[in-house]
Amino acid sequence: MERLDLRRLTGADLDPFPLLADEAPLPAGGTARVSLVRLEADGERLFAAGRRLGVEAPAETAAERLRPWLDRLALVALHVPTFSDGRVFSLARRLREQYAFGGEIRAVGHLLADHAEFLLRSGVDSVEVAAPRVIESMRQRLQLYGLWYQDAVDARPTIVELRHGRTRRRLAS
Amino acid sequence: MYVYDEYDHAMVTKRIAEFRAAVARRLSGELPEDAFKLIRQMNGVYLQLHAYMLRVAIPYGSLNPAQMRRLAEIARRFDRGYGHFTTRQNIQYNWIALRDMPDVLEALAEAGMHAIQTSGNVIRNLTADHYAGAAADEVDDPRPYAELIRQWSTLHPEFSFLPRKFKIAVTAAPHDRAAVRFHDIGLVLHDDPERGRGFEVIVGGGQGRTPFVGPTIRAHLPEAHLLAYLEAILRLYNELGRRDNAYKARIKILVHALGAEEFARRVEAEFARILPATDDLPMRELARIRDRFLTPDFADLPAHDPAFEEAKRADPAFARWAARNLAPHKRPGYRIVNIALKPGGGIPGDATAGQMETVADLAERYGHGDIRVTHEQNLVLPHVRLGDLPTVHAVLAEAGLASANLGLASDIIACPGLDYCVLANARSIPIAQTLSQRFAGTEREAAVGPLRIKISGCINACGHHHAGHIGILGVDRKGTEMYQLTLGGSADETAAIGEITGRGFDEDGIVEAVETVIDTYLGQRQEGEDFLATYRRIGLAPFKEALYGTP
Repeated sequence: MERLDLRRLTGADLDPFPLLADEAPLPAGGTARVSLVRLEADGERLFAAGRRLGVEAPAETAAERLRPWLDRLALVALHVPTFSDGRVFSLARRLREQYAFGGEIRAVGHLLADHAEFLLRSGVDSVEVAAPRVIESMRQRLQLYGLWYQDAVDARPTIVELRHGRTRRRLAS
Repeated sequence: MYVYDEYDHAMVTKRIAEFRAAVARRLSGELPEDAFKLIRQMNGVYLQLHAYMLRVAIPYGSLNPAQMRRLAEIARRFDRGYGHFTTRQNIQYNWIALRDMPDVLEALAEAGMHAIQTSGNVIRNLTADHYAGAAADEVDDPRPYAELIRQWSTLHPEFSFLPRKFKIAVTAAPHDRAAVRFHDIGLVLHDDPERGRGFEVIVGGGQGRTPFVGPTIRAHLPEAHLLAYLEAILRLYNELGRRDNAYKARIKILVHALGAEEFARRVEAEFARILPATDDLPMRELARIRDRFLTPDFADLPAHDPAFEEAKRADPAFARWAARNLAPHKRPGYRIVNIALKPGGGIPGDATAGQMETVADLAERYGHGDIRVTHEQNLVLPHVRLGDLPTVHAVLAEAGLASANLGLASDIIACPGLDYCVLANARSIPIAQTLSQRFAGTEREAAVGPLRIKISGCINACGHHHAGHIGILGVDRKGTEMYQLTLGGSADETAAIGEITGRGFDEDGIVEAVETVIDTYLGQRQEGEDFLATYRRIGLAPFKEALYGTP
């Protein structure tokens, strides 16, 4: 599997968090990620091992369901079943903005280069794909596109901010 | 007319280089069609029956003369000398070679235009009242709000892979010319004496195989909260909209399944959650956008103009056109001019390069440099002085653009149908042409009065047949093109979905069926009633009886 940190544009510093089969025992060392079903069934015992643990959640997962585990998870992998399924963008954004998840969010599954800047701007940190070509195209896109209009999960200034010469201020309701 | 700044230009031009590279890879065979599809759709390029088709965005239907000339030039250089204005206030070119597409996009970008988000499961090019900024009945020009939404929705990181396409329409007038109740989101701007400026928010209208008149989920949304509220709606749709069946994936199905009240409750909850953390910049940006709109410098004119009155007396053709194709302007001494792209027997919405240039010239000389495309596939010069109307009419007549049939039987909306479209079951254009041939400029047409005939070549309803006073839907019956008839639809503030009359008709039969419907109306109407009013009073039964012999 190839990985890319969407900000650093390299996969070298990423922990692998390999996906464990539901029956497989936790390995003796290193990182790992488990399915959401396994986390929910066996989470307390898994965390007791003191390992840096991740979860892989399917696209249809409600953010609410991940909430009880977020404080302890080092990584949330969001699985994209098919490239046109955009639910992960909203899910990642909720994890960041609604539940203030500070760990790594990684998109996995059927990813295309076209997703790259949208993933980054929705709160996703990294991707994992089988094809090195996709990683290379993503790297190119992320270097090419640095302008956007709308506010999102992104510290970089929007066009609107650039136009008005200041950063976001919050609107009282 | 909104004028691009450096950022708007940069957004568009950067994408073209990427598209050019992708086209080269597609032409060399390196990129298979299915991998190319996403890239071309993002740039408005469709694969149709005979060729690739390019759909160019005309945001909220607004063009300046330089842009219209650019569209003409593209038609001449890269297509077959004409373009097709659509029911989405866009223009489509049906014969551009794939290798030329990047050059076309570059030519568009130079004129401040693009084809981004005219295709795919994204927030599509926004539509608006085509009389915006000119209409006598509007609260304010809705286009700055539309531009604010255009920018917000352009390459939105969270909402670019929605369950299905998403269409937003905006109006600021009580008389709805933007069909807001037939859109995924419809917005109606109003000034409330107590609550101030805000929008009525309508969600989940639509046509297609499951038509719905959209319900209002918020009667008054303060204007400052517009983008936050849209974000709440889009997020719920992105999360909960069906992805297992493309036919059930539009937001109307979700709104219907949850019920409008429950959907509204969920939107309000999400909106309440995000509002405190919402940026206050959109309102400043709205002010900037207003400044970037070149608004006409209107003269103080008397409400009556002797030259205009004299021309009406002297020239019956001008008088007919003036009675039919002009609309009231908010300023005295001005009129809104409708240019019907519906010559007798012609193809609805088609315009030649020369005609586009004529319209551009007229807009420049007599129309404050403003042109609109309507969802009824016509063009508009929104600001023309009364005294200039005789000249404008003469120039239009010379160019074959002076059809005096706005809103009449021959002002037909039709989708491209089986002549072009890969989805169609039946041809729409020839039916429109036959009907138009029969009615255009006739005494019968004048006697019938306002009548909206709308034709779709398949259930996707691009020809808006559900909203036609008379709707025609092409279907495929064991390899034969057949046509279903619906009556009583309406796209305005009294929005309604037409009722199916009964079994369908063949190509000749449908034309006769329309005649029968019109005869029935003429026989039943009371003083001052138009077709829709008569239909609403007497219902479907008398028409069924006339068509099938049984009520």
